[in-house]
Amino acid sequence: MNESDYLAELTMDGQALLLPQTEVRLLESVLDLHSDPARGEVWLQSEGQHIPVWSLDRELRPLPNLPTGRRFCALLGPEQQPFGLTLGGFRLVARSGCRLLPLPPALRGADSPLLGLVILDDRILPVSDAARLARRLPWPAEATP
Amino acid sequence: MSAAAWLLDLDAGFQAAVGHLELLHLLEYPDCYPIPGSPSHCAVALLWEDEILPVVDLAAWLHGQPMDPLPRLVAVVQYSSADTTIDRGALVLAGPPTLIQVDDELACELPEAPTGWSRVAISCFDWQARAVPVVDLARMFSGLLATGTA
Repeated sequence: MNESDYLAELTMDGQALLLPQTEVRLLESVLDLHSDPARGEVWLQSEGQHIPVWSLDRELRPLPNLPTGRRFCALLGPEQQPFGLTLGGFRLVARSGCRLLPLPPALRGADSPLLGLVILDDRILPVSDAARLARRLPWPAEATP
Repeated sequence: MSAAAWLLDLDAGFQAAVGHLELLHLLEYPDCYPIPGSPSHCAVALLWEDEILPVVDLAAWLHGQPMDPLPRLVAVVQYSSADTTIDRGALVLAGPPTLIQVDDELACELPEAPTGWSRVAISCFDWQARAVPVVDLARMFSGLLATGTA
């Protein structure tokens, strides 16, 4: 059994999203997050690092506030530029049960964050990765990926 | 010459037609799955015979509106792509389609509005005093509609 044999299923407001399991570096409780409501900033303090955290909507667009129902924060991204996403749910899915299919052209939006789609348990689940998600986030100018 | 075609009610205002061999299956209240980052007229996909099909709401695109993510009725359609493979997709309908026989002499100009018809129609015919565009399914499902509004 190997980490790369799995995908991580993240749930945000009922929308499921699959990422390579190896890209989820840490899972924390949202209770451990810090926030500055006046500046609309949420972050995670980990090993002396100030790591920005965002919440995405069902369209994977950043929300201005932390919605209710988010219980976890997944730490994603490369070591040099990690970021967090708040989640309602998390589970591991064996790759062996998934078929990764390309995104049909009609479903490709201008800035689609998706790598493809997976059929799993008679459901269609979108697949992305940390780099694609990071490009949709409103990073401070000096930290744009 | 005449040919068989399916007359499709897209919504209260729009009708379109496809070839009689292009419509494969009608599905009522299909299970649709939202696809993040997809165009608003094609925001969901469905599973049909172990295949993922994009669901296009042509009327929504023509109106410049987002589609209803829970369509009541869709038609599974098939079409030949440029590389001659057969592809499939699903099209939102407002009601059951009707099989009709269309004669060459019924050919007419495309409706002037909405202008989006010119991007998806390959011809047009007059049916019961209405101009009915014949849609090019390969073009509709190629992603061309995502590059602009009607």
